[in-house]
Amino acid sequence: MINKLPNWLNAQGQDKDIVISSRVRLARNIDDLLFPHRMNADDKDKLLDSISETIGSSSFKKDAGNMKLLKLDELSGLDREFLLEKHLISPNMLDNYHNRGIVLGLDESISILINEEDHFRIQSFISGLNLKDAFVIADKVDDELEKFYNYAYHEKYGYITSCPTNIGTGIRFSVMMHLPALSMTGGLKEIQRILKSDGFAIRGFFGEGSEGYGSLYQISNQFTVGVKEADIMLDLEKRINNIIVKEKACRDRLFKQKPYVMQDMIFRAFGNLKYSVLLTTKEGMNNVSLIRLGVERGLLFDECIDYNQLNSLIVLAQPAGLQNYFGKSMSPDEREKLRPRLFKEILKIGG
Amino acid sequence: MICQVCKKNEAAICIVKMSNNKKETIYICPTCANKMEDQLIGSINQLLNPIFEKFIKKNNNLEIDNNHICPTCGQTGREWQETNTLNCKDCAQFIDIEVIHEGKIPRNNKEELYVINLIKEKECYLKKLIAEEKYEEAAVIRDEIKDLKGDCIDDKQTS
Repeated sequence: MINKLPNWLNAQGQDKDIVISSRVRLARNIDDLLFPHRMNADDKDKLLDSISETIGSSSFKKDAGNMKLLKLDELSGLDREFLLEKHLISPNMLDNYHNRGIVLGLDESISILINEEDHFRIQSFISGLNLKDAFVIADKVDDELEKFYNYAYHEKYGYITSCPTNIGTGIRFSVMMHLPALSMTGGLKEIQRILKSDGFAIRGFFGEGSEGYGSLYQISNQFTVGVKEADIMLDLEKRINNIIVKEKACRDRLFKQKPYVMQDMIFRAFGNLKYSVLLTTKEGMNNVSLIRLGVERGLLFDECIDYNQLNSLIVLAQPAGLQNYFGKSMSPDEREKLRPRLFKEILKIGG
Repeated sequence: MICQVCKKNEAAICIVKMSNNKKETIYICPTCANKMEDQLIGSINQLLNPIFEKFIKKNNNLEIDNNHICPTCGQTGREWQETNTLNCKDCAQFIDIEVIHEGKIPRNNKEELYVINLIKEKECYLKKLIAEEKYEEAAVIRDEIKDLKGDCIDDKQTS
């Protein structure tokens, strides 16, 4: 089993209660191959073999570090699901895993998806608000891959990708944020409207339609052509900082206007996790969100809960994460029964 | 399934409407779809942002010129219109956007392009340094540009 927790869950940085992680993804294709959705199984396998050789070569290892290739066909269903929950592979890859692979760096902060929508999707994932470092990591691996493969590139449109929305730089920056106050008060709607009209997207962290789930959101750029990578990054960073300021102000207001309501919500969430017998992922994550807010406000000081514990639950509370934690596969009913134990053990709140 | 509008013909088209996280699905037959088409296209266009509209406009042009075929993968203008997906690098010809790529350029086999871009970037930086009166640093960058320009010419002469 792949049971390691990814690096991006280490709570780091100034606003670690609000920004959880930063991520960069580069979409790249090989010049003389059809794009993956038009390739046959043999050609896809050939590409997997070729990448395996590339990452094994000494020059690649020297500059990009040690990486290993996992062929999705050779993994168990649970392992694939765990990769999805760790945000390393896409839902599309989970459904159609044949002849696809993922190249993983040692601490999983860098990975390359093979034969997803594009031949290569280089992604780096690090904790805190640090788009620049994430970009540097991905860019370096891109430079190394480029020495082995000729990329599909158009003089006017830049890097050519299978979906026209990624053409140009092929880059997507995204930041995972915890925004309980803005989502409680509805302030997020206005932010969402502005972001959308300016070419940015805000989605629930657990994928399409999961808005509000644990108050976790990911914010990313939508446009990739005609603007330099660094400019897209600075623009997004500016917006993220702006949202941080708004979230903080909103928290201050809430705790000033309704201190008892807020305290009640937070302590109830704590009680819920401490005493519940059955827990769903959603309920667990919503409680964790309130506890996170409580920790930031110093309300749960005696419980010695830190952000690292809370972050690890983002992955472990999900179905495959939970099964990985307990080292066995379980039915949904069994998971619901064991999930409270996970929360108690991770947060060290016995009961 | 029977068309939900005329309740006579076999339904062939499925329309999904998403609002407030609620999903509504209607199944209709091609005849009813044709009647609804004008109405639908009108409302869809209102929702799409300008960039997206550009794609749509281009697609309409391609419908007229359906002889347009990608020489590498054989995708036709009509297929592109339906899937809006590139099958190979040469499908880039279907794209019609006004913007020009800025940013990273692959180095491999595009060395010259890479150097030209690098010179452009360094010249920008040089201007900035001069404006900030950082002349010592500017001199370094100026020499770097000179070297790069020299390399570029050498390459052209040798190739």
